[in-house]
Amino acid sequence: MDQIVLKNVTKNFTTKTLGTVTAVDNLNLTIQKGECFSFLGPSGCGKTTTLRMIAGFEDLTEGEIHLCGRPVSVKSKNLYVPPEERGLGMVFQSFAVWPHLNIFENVAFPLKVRKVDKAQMHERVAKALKHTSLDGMEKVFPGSLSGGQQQRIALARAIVTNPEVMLLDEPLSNLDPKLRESMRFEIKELQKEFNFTIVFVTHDQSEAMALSDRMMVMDMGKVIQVGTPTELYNQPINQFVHKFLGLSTFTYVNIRDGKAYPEGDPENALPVEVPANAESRMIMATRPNQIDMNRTSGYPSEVVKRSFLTNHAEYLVKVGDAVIKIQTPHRNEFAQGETCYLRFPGAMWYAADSEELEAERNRRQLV
Amino acid sequence: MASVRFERVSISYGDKQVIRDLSLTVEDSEIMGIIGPSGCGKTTLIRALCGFIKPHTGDIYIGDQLVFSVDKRINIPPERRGIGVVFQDYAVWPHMSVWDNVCYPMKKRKIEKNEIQRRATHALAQVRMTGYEKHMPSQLSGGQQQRVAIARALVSSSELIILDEPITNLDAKLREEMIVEIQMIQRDIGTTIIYITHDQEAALQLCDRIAIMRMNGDIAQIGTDEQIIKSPIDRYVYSFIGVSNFLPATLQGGKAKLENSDLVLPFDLPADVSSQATQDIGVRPMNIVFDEASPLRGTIKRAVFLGNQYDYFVSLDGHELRVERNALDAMQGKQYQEGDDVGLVFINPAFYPREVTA
Amino acid sequence: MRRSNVNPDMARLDGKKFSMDKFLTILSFVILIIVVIIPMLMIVYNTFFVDGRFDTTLFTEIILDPANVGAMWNTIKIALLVTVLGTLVGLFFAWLLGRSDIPLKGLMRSMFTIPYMFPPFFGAMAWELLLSPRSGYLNNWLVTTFGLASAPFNINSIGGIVFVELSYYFPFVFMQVVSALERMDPTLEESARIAGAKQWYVIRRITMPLVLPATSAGALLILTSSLSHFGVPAILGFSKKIYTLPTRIYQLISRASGSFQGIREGAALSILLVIVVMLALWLQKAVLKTGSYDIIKGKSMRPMLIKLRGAKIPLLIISFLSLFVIVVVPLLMIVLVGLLRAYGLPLSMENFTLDNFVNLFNHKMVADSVKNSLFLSVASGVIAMFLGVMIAYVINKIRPRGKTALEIISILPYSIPGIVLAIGVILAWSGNLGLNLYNTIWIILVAYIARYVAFSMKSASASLQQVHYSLEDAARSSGATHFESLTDITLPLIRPAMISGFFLIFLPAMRELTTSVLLYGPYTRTLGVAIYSLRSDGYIVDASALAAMTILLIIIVNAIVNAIVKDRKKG
Repeated sequence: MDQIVLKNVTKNFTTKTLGTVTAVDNLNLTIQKGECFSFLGPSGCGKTTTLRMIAGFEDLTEGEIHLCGRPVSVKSKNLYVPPEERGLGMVFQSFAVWPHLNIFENVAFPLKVRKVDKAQMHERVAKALKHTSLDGMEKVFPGSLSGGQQQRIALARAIVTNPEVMLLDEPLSNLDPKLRESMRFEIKELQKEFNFTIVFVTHDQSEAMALSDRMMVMDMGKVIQVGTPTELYNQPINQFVHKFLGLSTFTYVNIRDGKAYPEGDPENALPVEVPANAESRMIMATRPNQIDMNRTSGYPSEVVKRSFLTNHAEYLVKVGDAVIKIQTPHRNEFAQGETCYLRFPGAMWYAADSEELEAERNRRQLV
Repeated sequence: MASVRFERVSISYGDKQVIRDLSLTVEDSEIMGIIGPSGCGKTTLIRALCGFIKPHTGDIYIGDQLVFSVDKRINIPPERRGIGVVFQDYAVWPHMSVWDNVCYPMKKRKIEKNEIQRRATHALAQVRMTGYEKHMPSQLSGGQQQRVAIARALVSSSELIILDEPITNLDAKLREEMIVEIQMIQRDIGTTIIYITHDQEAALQLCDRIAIMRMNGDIAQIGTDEQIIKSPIDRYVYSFIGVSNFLPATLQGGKAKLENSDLVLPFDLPADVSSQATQDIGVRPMNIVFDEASPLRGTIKRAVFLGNQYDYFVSLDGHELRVERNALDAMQGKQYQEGDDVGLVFINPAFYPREVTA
Repeated sequence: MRRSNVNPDMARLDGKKFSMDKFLTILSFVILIIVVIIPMLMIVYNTFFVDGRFDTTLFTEIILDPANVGAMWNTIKIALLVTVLGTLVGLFFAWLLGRSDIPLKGLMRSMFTIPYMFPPFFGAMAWELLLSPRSGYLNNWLVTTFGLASAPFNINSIGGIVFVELSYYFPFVFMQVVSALERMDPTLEESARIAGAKQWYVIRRITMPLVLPATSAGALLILTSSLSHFGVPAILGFSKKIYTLPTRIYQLISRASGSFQGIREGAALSILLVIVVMLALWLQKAVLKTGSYDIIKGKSMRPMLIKLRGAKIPLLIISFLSLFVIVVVPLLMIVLVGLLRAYGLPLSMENFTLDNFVNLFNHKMVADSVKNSLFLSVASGVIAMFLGVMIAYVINKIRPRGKTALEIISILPYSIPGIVLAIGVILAWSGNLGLNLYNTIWIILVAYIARYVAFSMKSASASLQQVHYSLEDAARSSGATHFESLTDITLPLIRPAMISGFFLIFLPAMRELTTSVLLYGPYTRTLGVAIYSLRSDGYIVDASALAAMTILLIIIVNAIVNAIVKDRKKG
């Protein structure tokens, strides 16, 4: 079932310094019931604005949004349902836990507004607190609590009304890395228990991949690619997505007779399958942890530098003119200066003068 | 070029002893990393070396010069120790231009004008900040400010440079660039560099040798990246430098039996295991390999895709193990899902006698 | 924090017996003891000791005198009314500007800062000209126009005093709350909306409780200011024999025309005033402690503004009308009356002349007062500024034992009513301790320094806290000595704070009345005193002309300050 539908959604902001800026540009998206869906992109890509339009904090410039089959924002009909009537749960990056209310009062607030009777309120708050491991802390004020605890209060407050849709706006980025990992798991557990659809905004690709059923990569207000984490990681549609989802190595190659030669080495062809429509010069994209480094077969190379890092060894090796980085488990050990052979399973190919490269260059100038 | 020698140095703040009887030698022209959890006293140690705080006991030498000694009542003030320091927060003076920042140390040392000009230009070129001479620090990004701080340290001293957590605030890409940059500068001038951080990864990438400090302010191990990764001296170092699983076990007849379980691990103990019966077996998540043929069986409780690797939580007869599988294996091998039964192989397990807690 | 244990040791090992740090610490203590502590002790001593013997008869007599008790009740009554009303008005405008979509916010905000610039007793003068029951222009106009039997308003009353003080003090709450609303993380309110709460419910249950600490901080600032306020009740109350504690103290002393007994009585009464103010400060501490939570976090995102819809225009009109009454009317009135040929003439073109302004310059007393005020403001500005920087440096960077004491002593005059400080200064420096500065300009200067040192100390402290110790350490490692690191790095970095510290002192000193009114001698009148005496001697028109000139002067200096500040921001 379609839970959230966005049709031709556009949002312009007008500011004194920049004039009119298009934050979200003609976005179409359908999120299924029960899905965990992430919006991923660099800051300023429009992911937060999109979420805030779903929540009702921003009106649309054009387009429409439907929640659970009900239109909530339809620009052409001037229809706009305010946030308090959309029946959503939401958790913010800054936790937004009210410091003047204790944990019970914080979590009971949504029920109090809905005039739920006392007995039922206590029961539902108790359930929410139990599932967020906050039971027994009802009387505590949030000011003295750690970030993780505060985020649990925010989660409890969001689930206490049993919403069908839960919006999460970078909920983990203010937490330390260890806690982030366990909270990820807790959110998934809550989803299993309370059966809500998750829309998750983040700029952290591993977080998005760990949590999501599907995800959308955005850039400059536009959708770049939508798919499952493995689809996006292994078949990125362009260099931007390739880079955004993890460490990337881009190598210029020359194509001759259906074989790929790295720049600066016309002798040895790379052991890769060249796409049929390849031009004479291409970019081969791989990832440091997806290159097979062995002693038997592949492109002959030499170890330039080796460092033992905490959970892998890092090698710099020569490929033609370029020096590329390889990450491999400690057990796959090579000495400095040793000859090694490289294979590149799952390499992706991009046109050498691709627009994305230009866009990337432009963006860097802007920043 | 100067070596640095701490001899039996202790430092206290009030009643709290931060550094305890520490001796450490940094050789000429090496990059020495000092790492430890935050609060372990590494910054204190460096502030003592610079002359900002006074140890309780001990001697400190820079090269052949004794710069601090309690017994001999010697305390050379910071301005005469000849150390270039890159502070954690860069400490680029906000009211001076990039050029003035870099020239200041040489002016204070009364270096001749043309020489100042030459050296400042060179230092800015080394950190790739040529063209920014007239900029004020507020117009620079964090990374650029840091490079100015490095240039300023370079002209301060060609003998000894201290970097205090200099790249913790940079994004991954700039970090990498700076590490290469620092290595290149070191190769060019041969300066001795002391690098303080709580970031093991950066230290392993950058340093010739690394000293790992304990929370109580002494040194647990000194060694190269290879020595530290391959043979951590004890359980503390082992768990400090990476994610680790520890399995409590009892040694019986040349094999290890898991505690609270009848499971006997199907491999022989390494020769150098101590004779204590209760041991903790350390094994890194990356060093547990799925192998269908292995008799050691576990159940996958959770599988998380992170892109560059898969994380699994595997239950081994009641003990939870974390397993990491790198992307290449995952791509080429069998796919595993939650609930699967898997065979496990431990590579290089480490044995640490259990510390008896009173 | 780290430095505290470190520096004294370092100095010792460096082999210097007497370090710069130690010198600065001792100097700060000595100066503050002379300027602040001795005058305070003199008040206590002269109240409770007669010829070296402990004796409470004077104090008991004073606090049991029904006139004094009446003054105390008046003081408390006025202060409470001003506080309650000022808080309500301040909150209303803060919410209007911070959370509603009312237009012209920028203009309104800058108008709210205008009352800060002028002394409240100017307002009292202006409103007396308009609403005094006998001759107020507005009263007369109302009586003739509507054929009333008597004047409808009486500004010479408790109500009148409350009204004028209110119009000067409500910005305290307004400013505090507006800035709290701006710093507040908007998601705190948004999460309540998502939880299902309507706008008004969010205001009541989330926004208001969250700005409570800011509100009470502002309210208590109003309370303490009003308790120690002299100008407005002096102008509006004396003629109707309405006294507050500060005006009663003034009356006791001026009636005794400098006799020692009168000063002692004033001292005893000022102890009562200090007790009342301290009670208010203690209350402030207690209230602030309960509600201190950090609401300054989160991404800076615009809060959702509440649409006023139909109420927008009426509210806009009300706002501008009240701003007009509070800000524009008094200033205009003073200028117009200053232009009159003679007091009492109708305010029409043919009665206006510039002669009054020209005459001012021929008036010796006026010319003296301009000279005196300029000298006092510049001198106290410079001296108190450097003193404040030194104390701030000792407190923030040297951190000796006793730094808390140093901080408290330097802030003490800030909470002590100006009139009390003046009595202390008289008792200390008119010969009792072997040095007689009475009737000289120096006694006023000493009082100003004591009164204003806290301003520059606070501004320099805030700025020094931004100067991380690594900036000085970096200079040391670069080869600079301790002293060079101070002159090359620290002082240049806090220069903007020093400049603003100077003007923070210069501007209020320029218009000071409360302290100088007790300390001036025949040739040492200040501007404030000159205006006050002209008015009480019946030269209403000249007083207004001089006040109008002062207003002009203040506006010019403010424009210069703003230009400097803007320039700094650009560069």
